[in-house]
Amino acid sequence: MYMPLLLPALIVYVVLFIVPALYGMTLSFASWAGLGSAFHWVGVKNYVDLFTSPVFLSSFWNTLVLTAVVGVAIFLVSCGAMIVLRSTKGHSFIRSAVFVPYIISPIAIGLSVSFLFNPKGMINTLLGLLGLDGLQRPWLAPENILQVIMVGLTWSAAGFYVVLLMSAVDAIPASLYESAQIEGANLLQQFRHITLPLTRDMISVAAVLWVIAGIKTFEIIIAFTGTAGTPPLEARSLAVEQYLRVTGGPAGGIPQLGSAAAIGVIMTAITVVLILLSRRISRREALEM
Amino acid sequence: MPQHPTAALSRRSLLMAGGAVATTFLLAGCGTNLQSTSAGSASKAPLVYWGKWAAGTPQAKLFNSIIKDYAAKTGQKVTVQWIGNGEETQVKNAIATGSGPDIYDSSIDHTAEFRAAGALGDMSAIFDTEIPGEGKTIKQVLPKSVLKAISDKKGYGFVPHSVFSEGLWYDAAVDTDFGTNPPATFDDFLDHAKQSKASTGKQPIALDGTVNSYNAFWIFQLMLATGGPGTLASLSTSASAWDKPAVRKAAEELQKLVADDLFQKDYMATKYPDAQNAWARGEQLYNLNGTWLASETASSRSSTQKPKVMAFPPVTAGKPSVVTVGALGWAANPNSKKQAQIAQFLAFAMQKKYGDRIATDADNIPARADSPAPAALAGLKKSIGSTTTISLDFDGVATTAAQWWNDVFLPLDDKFIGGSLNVDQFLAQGKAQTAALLSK
Repeated sequence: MYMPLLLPALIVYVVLFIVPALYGMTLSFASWAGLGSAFHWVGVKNYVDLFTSPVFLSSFWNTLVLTAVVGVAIFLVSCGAMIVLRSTKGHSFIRSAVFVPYIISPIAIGLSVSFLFNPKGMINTLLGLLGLDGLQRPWLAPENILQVIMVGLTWSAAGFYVVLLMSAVDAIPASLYESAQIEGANLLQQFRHITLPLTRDMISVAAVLWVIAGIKTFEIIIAFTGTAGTPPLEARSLAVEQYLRVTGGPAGGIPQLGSAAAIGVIMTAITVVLILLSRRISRREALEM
Repeated sequence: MPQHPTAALSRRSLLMAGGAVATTFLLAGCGTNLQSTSAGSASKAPLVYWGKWAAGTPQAKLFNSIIKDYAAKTGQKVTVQWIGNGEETQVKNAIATGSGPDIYDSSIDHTAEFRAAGALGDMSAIFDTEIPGEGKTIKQVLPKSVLKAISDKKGYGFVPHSVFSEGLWYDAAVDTDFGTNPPATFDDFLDHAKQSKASTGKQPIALDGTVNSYNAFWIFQLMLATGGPGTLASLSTSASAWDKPAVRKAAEELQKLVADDLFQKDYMATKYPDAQNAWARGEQLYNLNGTWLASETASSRSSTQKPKVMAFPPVTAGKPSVVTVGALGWAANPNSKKQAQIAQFLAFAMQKKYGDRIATDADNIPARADSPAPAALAGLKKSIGSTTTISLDFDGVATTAAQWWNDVFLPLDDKFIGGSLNVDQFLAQGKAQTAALLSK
């Protein structure tokens, strides 16, 4: 009965989403360098090679670290916003201001922030002016680059999650806060007993969205490190590693599309696991208002 | 295109699906009209040319004027699309699906990739085509070293219009006799740089250390000097090659350079193009880099800097330097039905008057032996013409062993030139990691 109505959407979905996804999974069991080149089945070799490659494992680890650390940083920034912005004058302006970095392309952010962190860039210059020469670092050197990228990423992504969570805070009746104030609860107590319980669902949604975005982190790393070379091992995420295999590297090597597809399958699997974990952590009884 | 017999996917489904991973790269937003090559016998059907230059670049302007002259002279139209970045992927995919341009251009670094994709065929007939009004074929106007550089096991690849190389850039305004009386050995160069540092208090060598291939210029040039062409490439194919005395010697020389502290402060954290622009402003004297450096840094150049480039000094006095040769050029789609017209057009484009303009309009070294190079590059042009031993950039290893290059060699070399590994650690880790990669 409903089939004729469903059919157009179903066809589009199958052709544009299901087929490519299945094709990508199929490709992960093959060795192929792209159209026009020979195609060989290699079984699970791509996966075995990846999990025995220190380079891949370090990019796997970097991705998890980056997703976790930046996720916590975003959560803290958002909590701060939820405590302070609810009752501050001009909060809608502040909200818009923190949202702006999210609109800017990560490539632009990566490039501009990386120039700030250059040896003679603004950060080191400022530290010098403040007499904090001891804190000056070669920020963009391989051993420090991931931390700097995480700072840039937090700055660019936090605005979106602040806006998302503030929209949940706005939905909480003001009367709850008023009665809490009469009872003598301070801002932190109000957050702990009112804001947090009533925004848990939105926090859980935000966590899922961040996990999906964090696992796919790519442009900002390329902007920081890959504009004229190969990103150093210390800064490679799964998506960067996949990109290197899709393109064969910046110098024009032979693409390894089978291996790249295998990384795609692994990224999807990690994303699913992390989403299930974050849903499990935030699962609870619905609150009666 | 012949698919591998075990490929269970028809070309149609390949095209439809595109692959979850490669989707964004496959024919994405081409905006191109994929021309069918079944042109038949209508010889005046336009030739289709896809260029990797962005519209408005000196090369695009020069090639546009060649196309215009060709149409005026022969009535043969050439339809050109300046694709810019990602042109290589588009060309490979289009040719593999039975369409694509008749002619495309790229750098010879991509030769292996195009061969593997069946997008580069037998080019010998094109190289034997006579250039109009000169009585010579394309092959006859190119130096032997360049012909060698553009060839692989299957013969000639791209028809080269420009060549590039790498060498030691210096400021001829400060080092007035550096070019005429160059340091006899690498050690002499180090002494010279140390003296300069002692007398001026300035770090003498610029290095954009966040570009790992620029860092690798140093070890590569030292390996060419100690072990000759192929020394670096051998490290990617055999773990025991890391034990060669020539490899150790090159690493020891690089260790000296690092220990002497001659690069600018925090060189490993310097964001490209900061160091090369500082060099152009005269803050440093030397920069080991490609022949493109002077044109790239022209806008930052101080009024006093006189950039010149010379071959890297030998490690053993008196040994001739090995010259690296890279090139940019044109290739024909092997499936095109217009091979004769393609050959005619490329022969027309290879005339001396256009070769000369590679230097004057684009500030590059022309591939033709008889077209003069820009003044700053004249020394290297001469070396390219006279050398008997040439090497591809990094022995071509960045394309033939891309994974080893990106995952093993470059990260290790970064640690080594950054000062966090010594010679023994560099060689031992290189050997172990190469063995691990080769065992897969």
